[in-house]
Amino acid sequence: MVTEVLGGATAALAQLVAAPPRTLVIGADATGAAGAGAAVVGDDGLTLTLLGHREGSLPTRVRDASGSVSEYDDPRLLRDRGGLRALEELGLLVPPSAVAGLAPKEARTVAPEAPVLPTMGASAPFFALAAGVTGVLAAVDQASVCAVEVAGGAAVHQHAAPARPLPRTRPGAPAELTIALPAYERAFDAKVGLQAGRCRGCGELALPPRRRCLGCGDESGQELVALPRTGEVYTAVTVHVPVPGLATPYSLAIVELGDSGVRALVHVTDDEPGRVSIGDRGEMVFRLVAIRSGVRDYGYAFAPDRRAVSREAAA
Amino acid sequence: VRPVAVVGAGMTPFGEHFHLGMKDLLPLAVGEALASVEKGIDRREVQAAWFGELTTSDGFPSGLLADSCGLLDIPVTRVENACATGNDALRNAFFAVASGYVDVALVVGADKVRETSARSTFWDWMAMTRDMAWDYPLGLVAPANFALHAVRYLHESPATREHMAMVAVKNHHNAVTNPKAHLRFEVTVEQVLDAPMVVAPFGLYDCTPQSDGAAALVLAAADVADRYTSTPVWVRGVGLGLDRVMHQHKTDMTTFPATVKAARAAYAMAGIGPDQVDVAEVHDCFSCVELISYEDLGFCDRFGAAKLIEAGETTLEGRLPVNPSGGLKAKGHPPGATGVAQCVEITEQLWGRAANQVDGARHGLAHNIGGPTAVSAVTILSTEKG
Repeated sequence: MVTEVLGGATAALAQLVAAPPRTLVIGADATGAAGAGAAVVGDDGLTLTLLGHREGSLPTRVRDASGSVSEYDDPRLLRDRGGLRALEELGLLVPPSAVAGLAPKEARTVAPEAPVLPTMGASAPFFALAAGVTGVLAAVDQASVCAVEVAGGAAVHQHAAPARPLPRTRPGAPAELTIALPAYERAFDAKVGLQAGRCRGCGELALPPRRRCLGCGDESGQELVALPRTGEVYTAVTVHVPVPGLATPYSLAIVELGDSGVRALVHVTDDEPGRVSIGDRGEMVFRLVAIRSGVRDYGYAFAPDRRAVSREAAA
Repeated sequence: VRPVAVVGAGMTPFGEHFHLGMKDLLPLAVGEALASVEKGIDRREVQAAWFGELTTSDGFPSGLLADSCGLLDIPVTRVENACATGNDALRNAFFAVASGYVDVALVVGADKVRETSARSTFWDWMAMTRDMAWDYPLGLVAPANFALHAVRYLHESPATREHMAMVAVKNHHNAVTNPKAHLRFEVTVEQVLDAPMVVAPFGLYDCTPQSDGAAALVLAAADVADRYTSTPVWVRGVGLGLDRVMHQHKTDMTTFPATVKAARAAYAMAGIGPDQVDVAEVHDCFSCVELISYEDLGFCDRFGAAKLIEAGETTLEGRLPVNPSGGLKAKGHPPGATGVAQCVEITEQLWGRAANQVDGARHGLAHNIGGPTAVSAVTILSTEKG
């Protein structure tokens, strides 16, 4: 008979401690740090005694009927109001010597001597037992906890190729950039044509076009005029932190357009992120800026001219 | 107008209060402010309240304050003015008392930043503060908003990333001994420089944490202040300044004109100049903002901030201690509460019982700059009625 149980470290440890002899219990994780562990329950070897089991609700990770996962990405909330609170309410007389289900840094705030476990899900308790943990082993998952007393020894067999480190880049949360369609429509001509508004009163240019002139305050309306397609960087920054809906890193620049006196705030494109700096010259090029609620939002971006730089380097 | 005094001041600790909701934080801060009134006060003596909140955690702000704090029989007005919210709430309450409309008013500021996932908060806020056609699709997140200024400032002034780091080191140091602070640990210049990048040139330790918290002040008219205290702290100057909202329209990005305008108004009203300020709480959401603000507030000449921080003049032991509380950088930054909490700190400094007391402080200043660097509020408090 094979029973499948969905859950994390808590469910796996609860299954293991409740299993009758001659049961094979397997814990497997396929997301995040992947790994698997298993234990055969017998009459000798390690003795596991259930100290407590508590189920709470802090659904930081939920799965719908089609299997797609929604994540509430907040590790410290998970630690403080999930694992730590559940452990506290269990009221253990002896503090845990290992905690499965928390990141190593968080686990050590509870059990300073805890071994570093390679996974954080259903396989984590098996890795803890394989690491030779004795005393209290706690397994936490969201707001649930299961704790057992571990005594004695057992044969440990590990079959694992050394894991490659996880990639350092983190994809942004799959959030969507929303769109205000009236705002999109009002800005469309000026944005896709890189056009400024020219004041009918004094001739001052404004990007984006606006009702009240930046110069003389005239409010009688502006006509659209083309802006220069070359410019020089006044200031520029590079966003490294993950931003929902956008791939990071990306650079933003405020570019002075020719001798128009107009500046534009735009993405830097066709260049390695982070390379742009004040004084760089280049071209304004038509690009897809973002996809917003499915709508392709076009505009201009700044492409630094690297040929001039390489000519200088060569000279 | 008649003189107005702060007669009570209190705040919750700033931090990640996952276990406390807005309806907990408000009564905690208001309770502490009322309890701090030297000769005692009954909350029924409060005649009107102004509540600064940037977001709307758990719904309708004015009602939440009235309901959760037992203030259902007085008018309550919510104030929202980006990161200048707190000091602007104080400014509005000040006018009500100064004009004679009420004798006793309550100022409250609060925000519950950690009520949404840590990774989405500033993104959620971006949609509230950017032009939806031109800026929003670019991903102009809050740190980028200030970093655009910082890069230009570092380019034109003698300041370097090391000078920015010195601000973080100083403010973290001050927070260690402030029990209300969010980040109570020291950092070194090397740690600040080596930290992961958020938005270049801001590394992790150049940035404010995301905090929950609330703060409150009790204001009373000069005519009734001695009923409540023998040590009134006088609200001598309030100022609010604005600037263009789009970065491409800000001619000189090495300065915040909003701050210059707010400070000019507050100094003029107070009759107190920057050279008379003994202690200041300055908006340091990102390290470089404190440097630029030294200049905008007149604490040093233009591009003199690097020298000021390098000489240690703004440390607790310096000539003009800035952010003795730890500042936004290390005390924390629940935006609506921030300005009110700055005034709680300055009030305690002028009472002589702050956690990091500046000896003999008589005049103190609080400063916010916020939104797309387009609004600033400055408040000047003093032991002297003027």
